[in-house]
Amino acid sequence: MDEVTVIRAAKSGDLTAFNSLVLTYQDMVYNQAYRMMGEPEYAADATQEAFISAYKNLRSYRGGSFRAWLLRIVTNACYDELRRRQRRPTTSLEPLDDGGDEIESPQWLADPGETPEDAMERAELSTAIQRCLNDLPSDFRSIVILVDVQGMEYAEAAQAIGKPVGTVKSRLARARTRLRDCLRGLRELLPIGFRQGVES
Amino acid sequence: MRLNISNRDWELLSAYIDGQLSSGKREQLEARIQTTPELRAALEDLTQTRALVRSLPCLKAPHSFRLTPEMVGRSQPRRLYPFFQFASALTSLLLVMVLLSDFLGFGFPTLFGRTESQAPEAPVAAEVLVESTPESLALEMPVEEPAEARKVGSTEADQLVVTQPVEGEIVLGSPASEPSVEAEVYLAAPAAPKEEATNLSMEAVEAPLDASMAEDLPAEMPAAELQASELETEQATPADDQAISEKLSGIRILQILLAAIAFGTAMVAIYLRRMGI
Repeated sequence: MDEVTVIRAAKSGDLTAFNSLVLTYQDMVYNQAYRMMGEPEYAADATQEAFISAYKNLRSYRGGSFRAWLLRIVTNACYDELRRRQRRPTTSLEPLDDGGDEIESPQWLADPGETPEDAMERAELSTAIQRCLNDLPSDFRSIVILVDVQGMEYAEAAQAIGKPVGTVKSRLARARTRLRDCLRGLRELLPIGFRQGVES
Repeated sequence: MRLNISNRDWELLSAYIDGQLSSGKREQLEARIQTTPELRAALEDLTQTRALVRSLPCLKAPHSFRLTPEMVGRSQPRRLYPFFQFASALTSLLLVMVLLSDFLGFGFPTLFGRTESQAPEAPVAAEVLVESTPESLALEMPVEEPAEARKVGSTEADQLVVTQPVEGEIVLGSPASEPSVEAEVYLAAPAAPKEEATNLSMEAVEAPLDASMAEDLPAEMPAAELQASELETEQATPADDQAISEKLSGIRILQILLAAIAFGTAMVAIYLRRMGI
């Protein structure tokens, strides 16, 4: 059965058909949620909520890229959860500066007393990149995840966020420049090839 | 290294590495990159950043996110219980208001047919009498103007007869008796001297008021007027009783109706809550 037929069956209330779509897309949706939230528990909750919401609102799907439609739902679920977490702030694991403010840059990861090899052992590169992603505003973060993690074209990413392609271009460029600045503070954690490029 | 690159150039470079520029823009940018070291360095930075983000591993879902019928059913609308709960509370509140109004004797008579002219008359007349003693009433009586006094007295007497049954033993001090007493004082005043009027008023205050008292006054009161007043008394009393009984029955029906609705909605709400609907 092709995807269009499965979607049509799911629209008519066939939960088994919808669950076959869930199995197809759950890794992609979970990835989007994890990169947006940065924590596996929250990501799993957002993923489950997104699929429930997708099933309930399946009639609003009018064709086009189904994965873009799904990613829009999970991205919105993540926005909601992030807003809730902002209203109920939890104790941060990030270090605080002398004024009591959270240090936004993850440069604190590079302990000057440790060798780059020790630092590499302590923190994985992907964790460092994820911290840089977490520092981005959520609008920028969602775009860079859609394009660079999910591998979407600009047009599909625009459909996923419900904005014009021009917005995707500008937000992506700004997100990448911020990531570049952030990653410069992690040069010890980067692979040698990347580190030389950053230092140059 | 801090690069002095405009936002526009960063945007062009970002789109360039994604292959999203038109051929014309791409050629222009490539020419600038060849001649501008800062643009070249920025392009390298962006390319590396993009490669780093794209190197993130693709995570597997920690478990299956397949939906169960319970998950889907859980999110179906279950708003019936709060509706009935609210309806029960609202109806109970209305019932309490109706009962209170019935006991305290205000509010609902207007709703159930009491006319505007009937309701306010008695309290006003009673208020006037409370403020002035029987003696003062007699002293203030305009002796030189009997016709006017008679007119006022008869009018008030007529009105009061309509609103209140006269047969009962009415004692001064209760709002029902006072207006009638006042009426008699006015009727007696025109021909009697001041002392006589005072005596008469005192007598009227102490004596129980009944229909026969009207017959003690006729010397000064025109016979036709008195007869008309008596006739009205006889005709108005049964009609008034009927109106009052209609009002009461209307209030009772409303009370029973509200109680039934409150009870019914409460039972439905309890049932829906138990069923989880």
